[in-house]
Amino acid sequence: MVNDKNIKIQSNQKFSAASLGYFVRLPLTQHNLALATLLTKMQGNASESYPDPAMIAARFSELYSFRFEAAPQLFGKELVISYLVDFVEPQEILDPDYNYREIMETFIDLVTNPLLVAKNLELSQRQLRDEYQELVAQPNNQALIDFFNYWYQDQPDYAASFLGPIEEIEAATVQDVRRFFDSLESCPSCLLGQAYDARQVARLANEGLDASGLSLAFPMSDLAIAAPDLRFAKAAEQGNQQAQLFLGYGYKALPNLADLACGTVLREYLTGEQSSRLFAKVREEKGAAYAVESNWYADNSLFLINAGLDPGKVELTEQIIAKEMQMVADGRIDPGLLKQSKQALVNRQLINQDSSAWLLARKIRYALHENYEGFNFAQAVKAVTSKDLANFVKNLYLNESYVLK
Amino acid sequence: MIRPNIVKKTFPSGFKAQVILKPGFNQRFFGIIVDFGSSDPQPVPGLAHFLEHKLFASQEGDLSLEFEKLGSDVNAFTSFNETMYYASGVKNVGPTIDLLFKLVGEPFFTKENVEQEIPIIQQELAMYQDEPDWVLGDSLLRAVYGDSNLAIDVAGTKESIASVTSGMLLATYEENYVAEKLSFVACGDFSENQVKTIMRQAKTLSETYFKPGKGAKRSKPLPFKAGQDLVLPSQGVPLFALEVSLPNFKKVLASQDLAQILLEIMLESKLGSMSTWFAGMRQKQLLNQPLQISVNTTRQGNYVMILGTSQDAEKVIAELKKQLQADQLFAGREMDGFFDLLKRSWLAQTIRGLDHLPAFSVELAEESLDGEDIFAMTKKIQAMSFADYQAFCLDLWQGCGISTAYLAQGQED
Repeated sequence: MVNDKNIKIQSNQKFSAASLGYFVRLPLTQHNLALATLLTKMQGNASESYPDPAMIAARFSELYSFRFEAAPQLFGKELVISYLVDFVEPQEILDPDYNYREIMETFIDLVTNPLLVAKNLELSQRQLRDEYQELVAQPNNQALIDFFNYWYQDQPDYAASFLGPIEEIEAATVQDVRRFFDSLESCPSCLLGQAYDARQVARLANEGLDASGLSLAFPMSDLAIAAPDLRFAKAAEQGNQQAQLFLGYGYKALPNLADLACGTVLREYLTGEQSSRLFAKVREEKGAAYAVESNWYADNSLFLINAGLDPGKVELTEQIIAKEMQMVADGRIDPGLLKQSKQALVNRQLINQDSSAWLLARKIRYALHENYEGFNFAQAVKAVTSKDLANFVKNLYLNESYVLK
Repeated sequence: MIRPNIVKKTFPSGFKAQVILKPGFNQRFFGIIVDFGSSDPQPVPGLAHFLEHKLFASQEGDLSLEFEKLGSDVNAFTSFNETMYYASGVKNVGPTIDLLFKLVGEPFFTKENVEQEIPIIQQELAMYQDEPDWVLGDSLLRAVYGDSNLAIDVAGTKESIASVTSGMLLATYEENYVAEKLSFVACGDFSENQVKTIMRQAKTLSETYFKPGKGAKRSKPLPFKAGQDLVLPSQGVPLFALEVSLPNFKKVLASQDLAQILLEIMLESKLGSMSTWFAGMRQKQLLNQPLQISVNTTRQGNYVMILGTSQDAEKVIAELKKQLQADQLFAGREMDGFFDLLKRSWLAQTIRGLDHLPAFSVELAEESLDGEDIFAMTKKIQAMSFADYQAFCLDLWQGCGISTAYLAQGQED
């Protein structure tokens, strides 16, 4: 912490590039997501100091392929605007004009001095329209959008899975974006990351970032959204080569830390590796799919299983999944596979520590969830027993089945 | 840039091995690369990729499961001229290497296990075919290179996948999986003793599994039909593609990779988000997003692929064609300054690459097959003058042919 601001930079002794993230937290609503998407797109295109995308691109090259990425991220009921920067450590390059001051000034300029003018707004709106068009043209994305729209049909503020409502993005004015940007000043924020000379980077950040939100409490205690009670099946036709199957299981309570570990172990047990239960049954035995995935959205109390399938094998796959879930709930769990799944997660956790992007992503997760402080994920995974896994699955109920053909 | 310590050997059989040392990293990465891929000659399109899938089969069952028991992840990929098998984990170095050599070196193809794989690979192909840009790339490459392996998807076609037999797989395997066409890479935090042990193990295992020899003859570049302009049915996105066939593509300063990078720098300078041309296209609202530009180098043909989206693709294609005429490539004063800027970007990307063990290992494995050296190349680029760069690019561009395709708007398939 620097001067009681939420600035925490660790020393980077391992990677040739430093990585930092400035994060601003606000409630998730459709409106906030649409404007956050639009604002961050505008910030990636231009700033007061670099008023044209070509100038920004040239500046990034001048700073040795400086990487800046601004986008909203969703965590349950909250939306976090993330400004990520990744740059080669100056000590790797013998150029006196390439130093932390130059780098931090550019980063802070991009974050704090957006060019909020009509020309930039319109360009960003056109870009987002194109991105949206490309996104929904991919059947798995369209199916995910449809799935969440049904899942949160009674809480539409939580439904958007990608950019936010494109109509609201297209209708926004410069004044709307300006108002939204000004409101961020007082939203809780933090700067996290790692750089070789952490002290110097923290000092430069402290000098350049003065939002009042940097002194507010960043962690939240009630991020998670309870699963709705839907229990329905929906389908749509698009004429694709593959059918997209999405099975959403709701969790009956708000997940705690032990549930976080259990859901992750279940994901690994069902679809993490080639020997995982669903991978073996759906792909290897039935040849119904190239891959089967599952995800544990703990902040949404949602365990989601999905696959791109041979359209003629959708029902068969649904039956296999239902049977496997029932087997776990009944405690009929392969002990060898469970042990292997837990070990795989622990190993992956170690390997992930070789990625600076993953370390930064973990930092923001821990900073945001009040109860994560001191939580040892690897230990929690190791502690999961067959009984825990069975109890976890007993708390899941098939809430939504969606097929896009 | 601090160059990592790399130990390299070529064994008497012609098999190559290298160990890259990355102190402080938890991951240990191992790979075997084969100098044979989807566009090389093979009985039916997609066979190299089918082989990649089916080498995971063994008499005892699926070898992936054995890797998983060791706590290692295993996977493979097929590209135009290479197939690579790789595994990674945090421990069990020796057993993982043993298993990786067994995977690549001990084929087990049966009628049953081949038939079982057919629907899985067909689903993989179907997954790609649902991507809106798949039709565009497939149609354009087939128009230029015919129904050759270079043009057809890496996975093959639904029909060619269905026609694969265990006999075809074995014959193709024996022809291509020979010592001189194989290279092993290990990367991680290894002690000096571990390096020696890994090298001994690689030598012994390569002698056990792979017969010496050069394998199948290398094929020559394919003929191409330039000047193809296609309008394809709508896929819901206004995508377009432009392909430039490069018959004069060759090594620059003894390096094919260097030639590829120089062209990438030239095209990024000319058409990328910094360029005056792109700013003009954005101003006219013809392009909103940067183009995706790649230079693809294969034994069967070398080509540039440019992909983008535009509400008026026809106009953008016409503009691109003008810009890509040889006399226009270096028109404009900005090209000189951009060369210096993009040299910086290239250096930075190389430095960053050192932190990503799998990608860096794959890069070095590919280089070992091609006799390339990324560090020497980086030095050459940094030292190169603008005049030399310009002369090299113009030479590589000689005799090129341009073809295009776009997805019409509003015409549903």
